[in-house]
Amino acid sequence: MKRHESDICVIGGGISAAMFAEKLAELKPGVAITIVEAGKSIFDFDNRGRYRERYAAYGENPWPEDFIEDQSAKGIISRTMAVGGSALHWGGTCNRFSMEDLRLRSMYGLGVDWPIEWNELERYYCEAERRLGVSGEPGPFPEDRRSEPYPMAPMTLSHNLLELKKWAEKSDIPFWGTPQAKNTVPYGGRAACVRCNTCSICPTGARYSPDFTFKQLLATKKITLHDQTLVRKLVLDDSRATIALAEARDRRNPEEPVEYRAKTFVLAAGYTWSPHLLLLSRSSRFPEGLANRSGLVGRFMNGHAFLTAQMELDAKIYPGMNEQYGLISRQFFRCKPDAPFARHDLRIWESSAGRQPRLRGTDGKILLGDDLLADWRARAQRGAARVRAYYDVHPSRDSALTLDETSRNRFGDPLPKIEHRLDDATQARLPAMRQHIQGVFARLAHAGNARILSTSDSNYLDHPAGGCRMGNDPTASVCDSHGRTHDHENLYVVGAPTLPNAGCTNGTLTFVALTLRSAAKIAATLVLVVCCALQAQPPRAPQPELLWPEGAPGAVGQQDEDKPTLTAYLAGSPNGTGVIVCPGGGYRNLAIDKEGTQFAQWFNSLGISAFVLKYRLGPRYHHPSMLQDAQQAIRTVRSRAVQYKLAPDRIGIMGFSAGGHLASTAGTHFDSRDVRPDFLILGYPVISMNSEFTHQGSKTNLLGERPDPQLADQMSNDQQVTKDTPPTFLFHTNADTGVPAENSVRFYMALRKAGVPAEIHIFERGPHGVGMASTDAVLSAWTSLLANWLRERGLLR
Amino acid sequence: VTTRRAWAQLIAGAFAALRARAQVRAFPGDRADALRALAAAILPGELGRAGTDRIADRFGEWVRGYRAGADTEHGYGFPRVRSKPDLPVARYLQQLDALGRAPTAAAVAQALEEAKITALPGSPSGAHIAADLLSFYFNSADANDLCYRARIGRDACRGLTGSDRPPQALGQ
Repeated sequence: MKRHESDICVIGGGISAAMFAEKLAELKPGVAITIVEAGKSIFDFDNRGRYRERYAAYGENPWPEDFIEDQSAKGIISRTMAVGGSALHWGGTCNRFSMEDLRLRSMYGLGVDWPIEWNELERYYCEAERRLGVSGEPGPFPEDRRSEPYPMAPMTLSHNLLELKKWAEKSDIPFWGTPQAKNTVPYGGRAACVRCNTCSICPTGARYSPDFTFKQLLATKKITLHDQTLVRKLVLDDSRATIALAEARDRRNPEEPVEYRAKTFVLAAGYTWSPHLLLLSRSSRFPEGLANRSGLVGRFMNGHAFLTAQMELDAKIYPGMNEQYGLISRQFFRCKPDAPFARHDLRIWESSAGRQPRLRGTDGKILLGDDLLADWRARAQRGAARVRAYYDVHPSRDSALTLDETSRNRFGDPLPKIEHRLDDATQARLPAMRQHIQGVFARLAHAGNARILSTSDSNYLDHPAGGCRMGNDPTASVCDSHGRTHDHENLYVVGAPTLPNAGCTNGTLTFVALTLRSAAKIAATLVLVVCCALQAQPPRAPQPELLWPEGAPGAVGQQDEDKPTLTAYLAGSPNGTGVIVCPGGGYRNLAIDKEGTQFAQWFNSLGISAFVLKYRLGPRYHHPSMLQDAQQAIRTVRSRAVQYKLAPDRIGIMGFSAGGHLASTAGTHFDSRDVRPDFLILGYPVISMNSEFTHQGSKTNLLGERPDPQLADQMSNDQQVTKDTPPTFLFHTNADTGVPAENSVRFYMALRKAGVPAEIHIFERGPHGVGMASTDAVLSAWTSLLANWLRERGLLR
Repeated sequence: VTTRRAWAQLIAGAFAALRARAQVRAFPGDRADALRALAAAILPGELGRAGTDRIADRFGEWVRGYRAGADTEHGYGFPRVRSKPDLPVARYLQQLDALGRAPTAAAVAQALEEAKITALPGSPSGAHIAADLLSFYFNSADANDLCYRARIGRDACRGLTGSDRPPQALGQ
């Protein structure tokens, strides 16, 4: 048996896996990521031109051997199983969903709400568009506002599309170019589109496909890729509900089992193979499969239906100018809550419907030569358009992927069977929905003097998703909003399977946006693991250095507690920012690991060098010894800026609890530039020394048993804020009874009053001293918020 | 006996496959003129005899480049993978012989009626050589240009610049 170990094991090699790995490798350089894909790597870009020719001339598969003969399913699926997945073939359409898709229950009493806010998803949409390279133009509706422009200008509307836009907008419905992951200028190391009309195999690479990302990650040694290896089962730890390993077989050597062990497993195998693997992983402990306490693995399989019309119109259309590019309107994305529910997009493409060459004339006689051409030309006088509306339908619980015991692969594993079912409410409104769309088609035709040649309804759900839907309620969902399964803390599902509903337009951009959000979350939770791994290598561990080599001022002895130290954790790829970290402990102890080392490691992953301060403590020492130590730390780091590759004006200080008090003291009690921190990060800090909100133990250790009230006022840092106090990030929990949140709130209010930039986050739940809160799905978000703040302040350059 | 018969069938099948492949590689062999004559009879006169000859020759190239058994595009949402069927070149040759050295359009129409060809195939399908030659040409980007009398260049990589204007007229 072959065994492989990594920090992260990603199962599946499609667009979600590519985006996940790319982002995680950026956030966590050095983390070992292994990607296991059942299909082959088709990394022969040089052959694309030839494949395209064969495809155009003979209709041959432009991605040779991109499927596995015995790994099929019943139902509508994509057969592609290769590194890159279905996005090898995709058209590149990158539409966003709308807020309504996330709020079906609260707005319309339908389906379920997503456990994520629109504004947050919107940020990840922007990131997805940047990573994929999307060209587009913003729509005219204020509800579709964007926080960032498209990365690239839209593709030129062809003459055909300009004609169709002019025609369609006579109906007073606005249309614009559909956003696409196609380069209109060179982008991401790929060429610009040269309009080859064969987007399913793009010979220039202008249309994004995940093989590019995988090749880059492999070239920079950021991932390990095992292709042609089918994961057949996830196996649990003996005594815990965590995943221990993935059992697999290499198709090139099928007799020898392969075992993947990892700290975290990420299922990125799409809407078919993700729930399929969870169901296949059934055991005596979990007879219904993994992550399936809710019974919803493989349930609520979704997609959207569509209605298509071919129309003949008065416009000179030249079929073949740019058939893959089309127009979109989002006018019908929204539906008033008190109106009959009808949501859909509206798309238009050039068409040659009804004007293809034909062998028999209207009278049934065979046409040849000039007669055939004349007949064709006569029918091609008027133009044609293909109009389509993808409309919102919702799955029932019975819309299911199940194991088909009658159909097995070469290893004897039952294959999946997908049967889509719509819920009762959707079924009931289908006639009205179709009537509404037919009305829109008629409106277009009437306004533009067109004739509807044909209308057809879909007989399957397009752009499918679901099977592991997300939600906050473990009894009604498989995973949380980050894809972490409710039942197994180290098992995530990302991308398409997590969608509760499929909206009314293409889903790929949404799959990617959600995946990027999952990657950020997983990166944050990896800190503990990385710290532990590094701590297990003592020779590489940074060593503490005496802060005062000649002896600390006012030192009362020669013990360790009389010798404050600074431990430097230098970033591998320093970005110029440094942070001094002051652990908490009530000015009596120091939580060096939880509130020191772990954060130093985390900062290093962001390119920030960190310096953990062991400062002097009460009751042996009192103020100002602690402040002297903090200021000496700032002075020391700043004086070594060149040596540490730091910008001397980007050195901040962070502290937790009493350490937060010390950090805030450093930010409010400096008397010269060289000891002023450039920013403050305060985690559940003690701020006040003169109110009922103070932490009495910290106060006593810092100021003594009976401090002078004037000194207590002086050390109540909310009262010491000025306009020169550095920009500050604050984190606290409402449930903190040790150091009430009023401490942070007061400091924030003082900063606000002084006009100092500040950001505060108060979470409802969580006790005092949570540190990174890595195992808490909600609280752990705070480090991501901190990273965002650092980024926005230009400290992650 | 069963085993011997099975072997015989296997060998016969292998020979048939080899013969079919050889016919594909040699197509149209000594019937090149007949194929050109057929093209002249059923393709648009606008192309001129040189044009129809060129299309007949390209069709011959296309047949020779055909790969029976190659997987067809399955792409997105196509649950089954299909393979390209055999191209019945022997039947093509018989049909060419039946049409003679200088077939007329009427004779071709009659042959297509007898072969029960009701529509222009989307791509050559092996039902009749005349139908497949028509399909080969009329579904091509060149025929599309001829129909619209414009340089659309459907299968070419043309760049985006200028695509917002109508394509140039043929002959310009």
